[in-house]
Amino acid sequence: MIEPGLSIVAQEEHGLNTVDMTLNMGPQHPSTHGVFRMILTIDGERITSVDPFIGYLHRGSEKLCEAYNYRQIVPLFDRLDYLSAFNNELAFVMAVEKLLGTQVPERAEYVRVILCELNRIASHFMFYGAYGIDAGAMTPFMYGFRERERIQQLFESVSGARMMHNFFRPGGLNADVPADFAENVRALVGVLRVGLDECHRLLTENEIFVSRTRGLGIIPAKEAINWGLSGPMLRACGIAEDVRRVEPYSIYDRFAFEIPVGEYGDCLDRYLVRMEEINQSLRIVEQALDSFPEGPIMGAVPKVMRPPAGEAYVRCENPRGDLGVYLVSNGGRMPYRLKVRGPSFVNLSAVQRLLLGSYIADAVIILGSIDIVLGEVDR
Amino acid sequence: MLDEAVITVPAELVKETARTLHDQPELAFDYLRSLSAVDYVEYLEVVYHLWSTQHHQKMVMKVRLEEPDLSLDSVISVWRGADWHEREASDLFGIQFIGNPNPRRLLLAEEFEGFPLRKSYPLAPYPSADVEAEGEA
Repeated sequence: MIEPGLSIVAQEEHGLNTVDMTLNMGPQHPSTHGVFRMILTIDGERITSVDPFIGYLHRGSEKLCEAYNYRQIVPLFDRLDYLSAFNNELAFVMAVEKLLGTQVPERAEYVRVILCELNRIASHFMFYGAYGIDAGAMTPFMYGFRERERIQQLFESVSGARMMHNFFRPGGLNADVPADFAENVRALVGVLRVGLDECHRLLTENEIFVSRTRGLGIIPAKEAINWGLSGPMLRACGIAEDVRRVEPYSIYDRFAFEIPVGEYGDCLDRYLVRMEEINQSLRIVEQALDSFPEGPIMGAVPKVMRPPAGEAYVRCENPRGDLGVYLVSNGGRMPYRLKVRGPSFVNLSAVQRLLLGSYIADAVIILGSIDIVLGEVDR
Repeated sequence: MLDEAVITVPAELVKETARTLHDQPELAFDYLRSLSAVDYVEYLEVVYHLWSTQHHQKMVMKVRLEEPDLSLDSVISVWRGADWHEREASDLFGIQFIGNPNPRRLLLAEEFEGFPLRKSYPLAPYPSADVEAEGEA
């Protein structure tokens, strides 16, 4: 007789009585990239079920947005996905501008695109470093953080803050960029190209790393779409879905860039897609610098913003994927409802599927490849 | 303001409509961008933002729910990614999604009482932190 909850193979083939083991991982675990907990059920070395728990970082951001005026909300968005604060701010200000019908000046659009693309690069370098550690290599962390630090110094010179920038405003920017901005960015792009090349030689060409990540955490393209995956997670499955291309916003339709896609939808493909995106983002920054215009940085926006009653849904391509902002206004000074569709939130929900059937030793590598930021998962 | 097609469907037809929107080849809304809930006091609204990765088209499906029956069918069988969105909406708004395999609270603690994103739930201790309001009054 086969007893419930016991391994069928062990009982049938060997007449052994074995029990599935429950393993708790997190919430305080270095490789959960924050505070995330999951309960894994394992049969020997194989994971048979995953029960994730989130919410440890829940700050009620969406409720808070209903009590702040539109300018006060920008810093709240910095604190969602704190590794790509500029990209978050952009999604919010675009939603407000859509309701207000504001025209954003050219120069402001260019600054936004340059900062957002640099932020994408910084975020991907952060992933590079953290993923090296997840895979058991310490040195990539130093390389990734060295490059990210250069970008953060530039951000500091522009906004005054290394992480929580509070720089974009509905209608434009908080302040103009320093006089040597374009010159500094151009120098930075050159330095980053060298750094990227070093990172590639350290990890991408490392045979141990490649065989450690190849074939892990595979999800087929159709399933990835059904799960709502986005960003590098979806593109690694071979689908060239990038909001900057399929639903262009800001001035992204003016720049030539490629959308890197993977072949197998495994951990290595996700890594490769992100690394190639760094390269493509550098291309966008260079093109933006070539036609960087002078001019005002703020459009015509009323002092007290009261967007007309209605709703707007805006999507942005965040480093982690499709960031959606659903803004409902009743004509008041504060949003009536503001919902954030975070890419990490949706990508992480698929962890139940990605880990199923894999080895317990691979759990950290697969989780790391999702590249989550829990500030945005929990909001 | 919404530059996309909007349909409003009765709660009992949500699963059927979702299935049609997903399966019909000329529609093929295979990607659930977002699932939000909004409290309009007289009624609650569940908003599905859809996207077709094949046709690059977007649309919105809305469902109105009124007290006391705040339940509708889960669409997990159509878009698997709806799972956590639904749990979030039931966590913060008290909407029941029938058929969701894991209907416990998602973001809040199990022992938490009330549904904080409802308009009836106060944002204690300050009613509003809006600084511009002071200058105007």
